[in-house]
Amino acid sequence: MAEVRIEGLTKYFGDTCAVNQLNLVVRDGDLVVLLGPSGCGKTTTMRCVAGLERPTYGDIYIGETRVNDLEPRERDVALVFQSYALYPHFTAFDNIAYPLRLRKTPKDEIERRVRDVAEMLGITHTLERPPGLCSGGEQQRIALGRAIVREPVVFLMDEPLSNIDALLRVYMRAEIKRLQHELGTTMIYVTHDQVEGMTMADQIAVMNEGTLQQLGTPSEIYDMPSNNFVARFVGSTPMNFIPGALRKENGKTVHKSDQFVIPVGDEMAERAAELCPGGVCTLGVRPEEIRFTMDDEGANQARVFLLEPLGSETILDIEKEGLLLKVKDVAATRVREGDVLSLSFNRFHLFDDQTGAAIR
Amino acid sequence: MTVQQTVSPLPGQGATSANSVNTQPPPPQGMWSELFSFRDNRLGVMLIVPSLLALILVQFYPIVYNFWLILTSEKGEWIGLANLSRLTRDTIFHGALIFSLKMGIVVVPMCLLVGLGLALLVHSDYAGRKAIWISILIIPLMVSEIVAGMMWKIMYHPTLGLVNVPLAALGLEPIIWLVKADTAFIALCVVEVWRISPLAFLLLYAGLNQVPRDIYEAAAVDGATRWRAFWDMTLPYIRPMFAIATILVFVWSTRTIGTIAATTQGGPGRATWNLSWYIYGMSFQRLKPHYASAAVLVMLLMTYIAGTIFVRYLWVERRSR
Repeated sequence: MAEVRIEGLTKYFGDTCAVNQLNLVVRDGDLVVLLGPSGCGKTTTMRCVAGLERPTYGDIYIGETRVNDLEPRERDVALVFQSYALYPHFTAFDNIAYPLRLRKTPKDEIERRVRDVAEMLGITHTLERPPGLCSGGEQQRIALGRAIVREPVVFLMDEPLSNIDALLRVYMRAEIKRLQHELGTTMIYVTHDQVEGMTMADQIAVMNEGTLQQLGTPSEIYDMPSNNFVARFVGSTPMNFIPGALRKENGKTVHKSDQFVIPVGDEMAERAAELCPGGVCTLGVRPEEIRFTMDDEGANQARVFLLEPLGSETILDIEKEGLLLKVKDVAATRVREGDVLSLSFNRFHLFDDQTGAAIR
Repeated sequence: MTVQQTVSPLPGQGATSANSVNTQPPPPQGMWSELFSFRDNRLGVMLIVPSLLALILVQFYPIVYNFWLILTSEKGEWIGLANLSRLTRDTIFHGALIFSLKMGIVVVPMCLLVGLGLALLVHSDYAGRKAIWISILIIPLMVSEIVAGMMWKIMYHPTLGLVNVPLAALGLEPIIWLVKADTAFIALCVVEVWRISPLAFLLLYAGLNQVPRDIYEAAAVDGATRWRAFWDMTLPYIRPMFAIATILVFVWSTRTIGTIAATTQGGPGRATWNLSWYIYGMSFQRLKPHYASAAVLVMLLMTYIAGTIFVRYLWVERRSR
C-alpha cells in the first residue's frame, strides 16, 4: 500500500501534448477516479504510472520511490485493461496464477491464493476454462482476479467496465468499490463515465485536454465545480447555461439575459464585478435546482415543449426565445407539453465567460 | 488476503424463465447428419463436388496407381511386395533416405531459427518500413530451385566464388565445397536454408502479427521480463504457425531436387543423393518406374509420419485458444 504522487507530469506523443503538467496526489488507500472525455490524457497518465509510457517531463512517486526509471515489473502495480488483456492460451487459473508464478511463489500457495480470489469473485467454475470460453463478465472478473491475487501496492484500472452490459456494470462498480475498501489498496480508476466516477470515487480528478480541471470529492465536484467544463461534464442531465450579464435593478443585482432576470446575492455579485469586465458572465444551474409553479403570472415564464419521463422523475424540456433548459421534476406534477411555467432558480453558479472559471 | 466474503450471484443469472413454455426445436442429431442433410446443404454440396472431383483426379488416382506400380514388375507382372523387399536391401536407397533425413534434421531447425529471428526483427519497432523488408526477404522464395542452385554453384566456385573470398582474405586455402562429401552436405544445407527460411519467416511473421499487443503490456505489468514474455506469450501464440512452418519446411527440404541437380548432381560419388534424386534417377535414367514407386511410397510415409508428429506436438497439444 502506498501513496502515488505525480509531479509536473507531461507527456508528448510527437508534437501532441497528451498530458500537460499534471500534479496529483493519490493518498494511501484512496480510490481516485480520473474522469474526462476521450483524449483528455487520463489513460496516458495511468500508463505512465504503470510504466508502460515514459513521462516526457515530471516525476512519479509510488510511496517514497521515484519510479520514472523503473520497468513496469519493478513497480508492483497491477493493471486491469479495458480489453482485459487476458492470456488467451492460458486457462483462467493460469491467467490469475501468472503473476505469482513470475514471483516464484510456491505451488501450493499459488493454488490456495488463486482459489481464494476466484471464490471471492465468484469465478471458481471458470478456472479450468480458457478466457475465450468465458462470458464478458467472467473475463472481466478473471482480469480483476489477476490484479488482486498479487496484492500489489497500487491498483490501476483502465475503463474496466466499458465492455460489459449495462446491468452488470452497475453491479460490478459496486463490487470493485467494495473490494477496494476491504483490501484497502490505493486505486487509480480511469473512466469517461461520470456516473461511474461519482459512485465509486473517494476523490475525482476531472481532466480535459491533458490538464487537471479539478480534484475533489464527488460532492465537491458536483456542487462546487471549479469551471464550466467540470460543471458540464459531471451530472447525468447536464447543467443548464444561461449567458448574460450582471445589472443593477431597483438597487439589487440581477443576472440579466435575453430570457430571464435572476436575482444574485450581494457577495457573489461583488466578486463577479471584480472578475468580469462589464459583469458579463454565464449562469449555470443544475436541472434539479430549478423550481417551477404552474401559473402564468410570475416572473421568468417559459413554455414546456417536451417531456422525458424516466419513471422516478421527469425531465421537462423548456424553451424560451432560443434558449433550452432542462428541468428535473421529481414531484410528478401534472405538467403537460405546451404548459407555461413560472421558473425560480434555487442554487446556481456564475462562470467567467473568458476563462470559464467559476466565480465564488 | 483479508477478504472472506463471497460474491452473490450475478444479477439475472439465477433467474430462469420458469413460466415460459418450452417451444425450442430439438437439438441437431450430430455433425454427420447435419453435414449430409442434403436438403439444407444442397448448394454447399454442389459447390464442393468440382473440387472433390479434382482432388480424386490429382490425389487419389495417382496414389492408387502408385500402389499398382509397386505391386507389379517393370514388365507389368504381379509380384506382390517384391519391390518393397528389394528396397530394404538396396544400400543406395538407404544412403538416399538417410541423406534426406539428415538434411531435414539440419535444415528444418535452421530455417525455423533464421525465419523466427528475421520475423522478430521485422516485427520489432526497430524495423522501419516493414513492407520493404518483407519484399527483400522473400526474394529467395520467388527464385526457382534450379536458378538458386546454379547461383550458389557459382558462389561456391573455388576461385571465383563469393563464399571463398573471406577465406582468401584471411590467407586460408580456398575450400572446394562441392567436391568433398562433408563440405558438399554443408553447402547444400546452406542453399536450402537460404531458399526455404523466407517461407518460415513469412509464416512466423504473420503469426507474430496476430499476437495482441496488450498481452505483452499485461505481462510486463504482471512482472515478466521481455525474455519471459517471449517464452510465455509469443511462442505459445505462434505455435500453430510454427507447426505449419515446420511441416512445410520439412516437406520442401526433403523433396528438393533442383538444387542437387544444379550443384552436385548427387556427387561426389553418391554422397548427396537424396530420395528425390534417387527416385528421379531410378525412374527416368534407369527406367525402373515400378521399383521407384516403392521409394515414392517410403517418401510419402516419411512425410506423413513427420507431419503427424509435428501437428500432434506443436499444434493440437495447445491448451486452447
